[in-house]
Amino acid sequence: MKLRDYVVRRLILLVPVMFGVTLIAFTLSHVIGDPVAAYASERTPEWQIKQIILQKGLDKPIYIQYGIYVNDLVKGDWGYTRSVNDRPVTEVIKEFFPATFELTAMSLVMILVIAIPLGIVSATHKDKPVDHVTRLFALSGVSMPVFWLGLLMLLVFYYHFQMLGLPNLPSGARLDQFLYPPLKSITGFYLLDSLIQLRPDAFFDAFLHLIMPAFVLGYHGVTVVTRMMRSSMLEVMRQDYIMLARSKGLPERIVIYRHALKNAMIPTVTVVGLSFGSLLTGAPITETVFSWPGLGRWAAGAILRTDFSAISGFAIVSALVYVTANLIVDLLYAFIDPRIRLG
Amino acid sequence: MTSSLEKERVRSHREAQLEELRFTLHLLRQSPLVIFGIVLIVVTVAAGVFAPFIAPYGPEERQWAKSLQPPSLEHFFGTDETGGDIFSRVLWAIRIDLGLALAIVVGSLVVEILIGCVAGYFGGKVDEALMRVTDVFLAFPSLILAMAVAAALGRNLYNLALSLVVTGWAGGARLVRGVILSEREKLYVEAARAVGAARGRIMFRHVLPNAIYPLLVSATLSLGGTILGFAGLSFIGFGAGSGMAELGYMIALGRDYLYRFPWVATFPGLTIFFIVLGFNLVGDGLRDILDPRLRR
Repeated sequence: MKLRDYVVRRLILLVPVMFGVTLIAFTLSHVIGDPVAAYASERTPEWQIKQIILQKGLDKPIYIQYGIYVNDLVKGDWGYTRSVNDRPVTEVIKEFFPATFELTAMSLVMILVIAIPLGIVSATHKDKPVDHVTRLFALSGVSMPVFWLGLLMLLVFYYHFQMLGLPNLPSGARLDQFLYPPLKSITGFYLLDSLIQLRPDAFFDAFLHLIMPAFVLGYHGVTVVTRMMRSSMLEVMRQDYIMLARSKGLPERIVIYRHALKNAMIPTVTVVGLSFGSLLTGAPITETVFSWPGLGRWAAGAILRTDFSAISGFAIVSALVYVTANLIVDLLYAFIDPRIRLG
Repeated sequence: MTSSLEKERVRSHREAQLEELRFTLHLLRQSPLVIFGIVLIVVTVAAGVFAPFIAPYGPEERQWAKSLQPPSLEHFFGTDETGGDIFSRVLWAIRIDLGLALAIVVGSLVVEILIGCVAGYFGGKVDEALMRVTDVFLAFPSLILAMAVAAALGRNLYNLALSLVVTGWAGGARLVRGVILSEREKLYVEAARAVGAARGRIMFRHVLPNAIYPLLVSATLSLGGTILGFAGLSFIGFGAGSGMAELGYMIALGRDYLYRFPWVATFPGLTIFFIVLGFNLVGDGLRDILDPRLRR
């Protein structure tokens, strides 16, 4: 099967998934929540509410309402969010998305940079002290409540370092508010913006602001990927072709990085792809801890205020990102391992 | 005559199972980390069960004059902003968190087994339809869905637990289905069918007992994650009502006093960490031992 055909087929398969996701979002916002609330506030007069009901077809049967809902979604009318001054959901998503994307991308980078080397070292030094420390680090990561870890990091790296006059890791925003001259927002991705405008000071500042939230968001993923990398590396090292490579007299470094690593990466790629999805799911909690102005904090706040149009918007965006990430992972497979046929 | 033979065979089968179990326990005992995990679980479960007898104060008992005191001999973990003894509150909270997490895992397991069995056994269109539903639940951010369901049902601990069951079954159902699919092709299923056993009987009497081991391991492993998810949602404001002794909520309260009175948030978090660590250590050990490649 050709790559293009495969992608097309996968995209067609997305239709039922997105149908299901919109159905759940619709149920949340129209059946459980009050759909009028997305367009009205407490001060909206009675006649206007009636107008909204007529305009949005909320007096029609439920399946027609679903049709209208999907139609509105496609046209870009996602309702208004009470949590952010009654602004349109799409506008708010556009504003918050870069913050969350930058955060999750940074977490993903951390996962790759920390977890894969750790997994390799742990596997090649099995049952040595390095291995034990790595396994302990991984195990505590899976066992730790991330929001609590976030608080502890704030306590140490923000508060105590500041008290001691040490350089501390900032928190509570994406950039220092006293940064001068202020950084102009072009793409909304501050790291990118500061590079475009040749502002190393802003880049460094944005980077510092990212460290703690990205680490907390990614810690769980780091540990999962480390464990996966370790066990798949151990599995591969037992294979005959590794013994062959060694008996040919190849240096151990080449055996590990040329011969073993590539095959050990296959299961790891799956786990990395899956952890990208869980990063988005974890965003509400991490962003709440660090007051990070992103989608997650907005969604968590919206749910507490039963702002259902915001919830449906966030859910649809994260589902889209998640299925896209999965598709990319499947394509990466074929790239890493030519034996895998797409289909 | 035949019946005594039958008995003989049954007994030896049971003995074989017992032997297998004994061997598993023997292997478990050899791993110090698993022992440590078991100790952690036993201690925390005992602390929760016997909280009414050990805890020096009640879960919502207040001594307003003694608010925000650091850990001391009188208050091991210090006191919170309303003068509640954090040590006692942690003990009471273990009951709630552990109990509800157990309920969530058992509830999800039931749903997973039902859906996975139906999909795996009937195959074809039923399977296809159920797996598409599973896809949707996997694609939908589960924590968000859980929050939304909890918010819609009304915010309290029981609804939060229910919402985690509603949203948490998808991955497990996939696993069950996979196991059933591979079991279904085995000879003994065909034999049972040839004898004329009904589908339901084959499923629950023959296939399921063979598939149950990996399911139990995954349930043990998920117990830790469930406690984390539950506490996390409680932390951002779903679930526990004001003043309640629940670990996630206690950390949320401590957040406001983090810099000057760090013990308020630290001890409940540490408790969660040790409980979850216990389950993960045992779950890991179980997985290693049940892996036939490592076994002999």
